[in-house]
Amino acid sequence: MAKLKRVLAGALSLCMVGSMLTACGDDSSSKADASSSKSSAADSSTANSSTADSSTADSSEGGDSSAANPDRKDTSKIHGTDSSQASKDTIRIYCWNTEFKLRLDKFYPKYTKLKVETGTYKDEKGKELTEIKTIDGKKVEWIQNTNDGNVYQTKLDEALKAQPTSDNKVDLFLVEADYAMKYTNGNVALSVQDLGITSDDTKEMYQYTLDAATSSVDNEVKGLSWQATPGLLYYNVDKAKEVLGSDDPAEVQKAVADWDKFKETAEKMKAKGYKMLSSFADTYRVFTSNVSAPWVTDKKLTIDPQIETWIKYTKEWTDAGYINGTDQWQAPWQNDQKPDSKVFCFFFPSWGLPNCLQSNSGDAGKGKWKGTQGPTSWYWGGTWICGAIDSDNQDIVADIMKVMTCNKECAKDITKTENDYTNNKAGIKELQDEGFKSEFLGGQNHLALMSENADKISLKGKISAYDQGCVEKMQGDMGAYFKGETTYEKALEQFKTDIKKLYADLEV
Amino acid sequence: MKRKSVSYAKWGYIFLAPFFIVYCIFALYPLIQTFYNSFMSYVIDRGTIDDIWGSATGAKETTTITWGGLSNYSAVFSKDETLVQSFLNTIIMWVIGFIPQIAVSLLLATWFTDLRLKIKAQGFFKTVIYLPNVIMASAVAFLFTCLLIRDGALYNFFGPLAGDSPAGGYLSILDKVWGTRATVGFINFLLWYGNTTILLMAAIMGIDPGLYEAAQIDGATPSQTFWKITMPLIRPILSFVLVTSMIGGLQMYDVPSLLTLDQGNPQGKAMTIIMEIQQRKDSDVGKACAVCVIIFIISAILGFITMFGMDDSREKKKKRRKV
Repeated sequence: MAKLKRVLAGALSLCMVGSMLTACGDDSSSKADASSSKSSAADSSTANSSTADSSTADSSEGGDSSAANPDRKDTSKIHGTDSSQASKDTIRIYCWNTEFKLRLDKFYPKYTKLKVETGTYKDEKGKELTEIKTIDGKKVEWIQNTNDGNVYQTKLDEALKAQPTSDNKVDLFLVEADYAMKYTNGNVALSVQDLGITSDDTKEMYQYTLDAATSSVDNEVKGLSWQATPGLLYYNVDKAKEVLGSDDPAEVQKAVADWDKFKETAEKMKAKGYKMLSSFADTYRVFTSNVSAPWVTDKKLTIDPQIETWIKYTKEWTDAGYINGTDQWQAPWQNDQKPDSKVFCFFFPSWGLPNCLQSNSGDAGKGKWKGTQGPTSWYWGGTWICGAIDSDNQDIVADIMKVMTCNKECAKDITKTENDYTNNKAGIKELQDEGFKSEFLGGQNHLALMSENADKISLKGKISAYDQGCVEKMQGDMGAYFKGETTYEKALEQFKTDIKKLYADLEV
Repeated sequence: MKRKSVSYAKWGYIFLAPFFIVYCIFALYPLIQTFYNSFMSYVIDRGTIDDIWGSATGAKETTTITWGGLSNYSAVFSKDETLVQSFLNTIIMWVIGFIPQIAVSLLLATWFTDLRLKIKAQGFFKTVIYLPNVIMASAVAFLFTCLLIRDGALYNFFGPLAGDSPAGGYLSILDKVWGTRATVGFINFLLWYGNTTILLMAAIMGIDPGLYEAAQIDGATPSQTFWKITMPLIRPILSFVLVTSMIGGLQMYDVPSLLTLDQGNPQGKAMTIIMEIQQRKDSDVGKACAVCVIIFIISAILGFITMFGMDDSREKKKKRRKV
């Protein structure tokens, strides 16, 4: 009996110690483990491994002629800790939302030569979706952290810093334009040439997407993007007919050709009880696309005249009643994208059309929106895929990058089915020649407008590694000014102190 | 027999050991490190990432650590810093939540324990009162954001209180300093009054019922019994509630942070001291540590106050009994 008690007490205390430690192991990041129980793994089907038509020939294993330097590729051998078998059997991907996952799940199995195993799961709306479970027998693991408040960067930095000594290696991570420079200039991403991706593979990409991912340290391309992100103005067809007399993009363009015209139209909308824009931040990127200096140069903060213009116009338009005063990304802002809302137009980049406007307006929105250029050409962000240095699944990383960003047929497929604007000039041109029509935009060929814009994009001298925090704080702190709760000077003062908190080494 | 008792003591220490080992690694060591770092000028450049592979390609060092002495502490109290403001915000929001909390809790606790009232289904009510405390604070904060923001479910109800918006319609009360602070206070009240009620009930039930009966026979009114019997005798527990709540209030983070989308707006007037630490921790590590140390000192002082407060009253009681 005494022995039993002793054993019991020992077991209980072990449990207690164990439970103390459980909290330490994992962090708050939500792991979207592909094989977790949330996926109602009803049917697991092995997708094709042989859609070997001519188009996919260039997708995988093709470009080994680039003769990747084995030393540079096999970095984990140089750096020390070898990865565990579990890590070798897992492809760990760091991301901040599900955009890339959805694209990869939907299009990668069709265009890769590798063997992909898929399963199904239900998303939060109860829709059944297919997801990739394994690629070439390797499990896919997604680690998702929100971009807000630099959370994603903090988590990614921790993982990358641990990379040399950890036996559980990150294989692939995504970066956004707001902080891409930090990772392309740091020694943390594999050069695409080392992954066997040649300049021939990337020749149809927009040069700016390559420039933005080129390291200023060694002039090598560190990441590739499957999308180009030109922006357009999307307007509600019914309101355009009612107020402007026509819903033809060319006619509407005349009414929003520059900011003065834009204001006149806003006045007309107001007379009919409509709002021109939904949130204060809607036009933010339209102005910041044309800045002359990035937020931070040589660790010094600059507030560009374009940003001041955004503040001036937004305040003016708010006071005049042209803006609905919602908060970007919040539910009321999303509701304003429904076709029967009182908001006339939204500025959206390429990815905003499928991910925001289309999903928020739902089926009722079909044919209710059309795109036009708007007052100026602009862009917003972009996502780059980077192979993590020391990755233990570089062949698969290389294949994912090749299929998703270099394969013309895949790019065309994404644009056709998802309305996204892909980073393949030849593909976009072919689609236009084939007479592309967007069903959501009422049969409009918005690619023509987009490609005109995409040619003009240059990120050179416009982005810095500190943009995420600067943009968030600028929009957050100016809110009170727009709402008439504080003065411009006070809001600006607050912005500067906030930046000092986030980035203590910057001169403000 | 003697041997057995010795071996039991040994087992006692063995069973205690895991806690102390875990505590030293995960609590004591970081605590000492925080004190140490608070004297450093410790700044991380978040725009670059450490070149951990040591390539000679000129990547920059991202972390600079130099001896700073007391500079962090003097910076915390300087005028162009928001830390003092944030400290005030924290206290104000705590007070807004605590006053109704203690009032309602006292009232409920008195009613539930009243000999004459004999409220039925006490177990049910106690559970219901305690329920909000079971919900995660972040979930409640998120719920209130959704309810109160512009075009949210309660926007039309509370909007008129906040006045007209230049964008047309009303402002949301979350656009107002008082509105945000009141909401934070209300959420904290909602989450914690049940907990306090249970604590105070335990304290009141610990009082000798004979005292109440004697008071009744002497013709004391309920308010007299409350002020002359209940209040003095639950003082130790009251001061315990006050101090734990104050320490919890100093560490207020999740509710204001989620309610203001981590920004502490409007005008930084809903920024709490822990939010300040969270904002700085990835860049201005030295100053964040200095703030931590200050909170530690304040919490320690508050802790000592209760300890002595409670001891005093106990000793007095004992002395009286002896006399």
